Amino acid sequence: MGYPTLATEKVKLVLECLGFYLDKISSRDTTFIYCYPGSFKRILIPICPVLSKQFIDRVFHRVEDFGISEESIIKCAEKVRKESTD
Amino acid sequence: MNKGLDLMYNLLTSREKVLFLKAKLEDFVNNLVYKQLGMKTPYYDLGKLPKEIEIFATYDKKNDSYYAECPHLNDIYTAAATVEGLIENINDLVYEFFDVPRYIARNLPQRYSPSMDAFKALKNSKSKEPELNIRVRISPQLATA
Repeated sequence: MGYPTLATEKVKLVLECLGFYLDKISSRDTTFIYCYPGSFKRILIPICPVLSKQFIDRVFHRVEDFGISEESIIKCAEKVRKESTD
Repeated sequence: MNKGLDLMYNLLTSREKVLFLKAKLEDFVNNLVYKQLGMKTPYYDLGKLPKEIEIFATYDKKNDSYYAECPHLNDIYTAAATVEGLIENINDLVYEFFDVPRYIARNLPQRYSPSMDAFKALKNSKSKEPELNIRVRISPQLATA
């Protein structure tokens, strides 16, 4: 099935939809650093208008490590995509 | 604000904008204290940083975008539209990973700088594959805080 390719702002919205929050911005302002409540692990989203397919897959597979199912991620991604086209 | 920062700022919610402005205020105060007033900068042992890092980079032809990750540093993976941007992101993430204080990280030159030849070859390859991979070792350049 695989994850859809999304722009940076959409990935950010998907993470927020899944319960992640922006913890900080990297020292040299290149990357958003997201955290999940009750976890020390982080998700990194670079400030890049177009994210490669491989990057998106890496991020969402990492999101799965937080116990979030592939179904939930795709559902959120579809919701974000739908809201942005409405 | 430069273009990247402008883009970043526009992506933030109002709560996050407060976070962002707090970081900018910290930069302003740090510059004032360490640069203008000449106070001693915080100490950080740059010897803690790795002697070299290995990155696995991919060029995505369809999206004209680069992706890189460090197989030995689990928290370092990034993407960028250009090789220069990719290298800057990697440097920034290595500083984050090793908790280099913000002021020092912002004033360090790019410590890890690979040869650009491998990346040029990656992009100019005539291969029909949608994604092309390389593995490069990046040694740190001389850099002081």
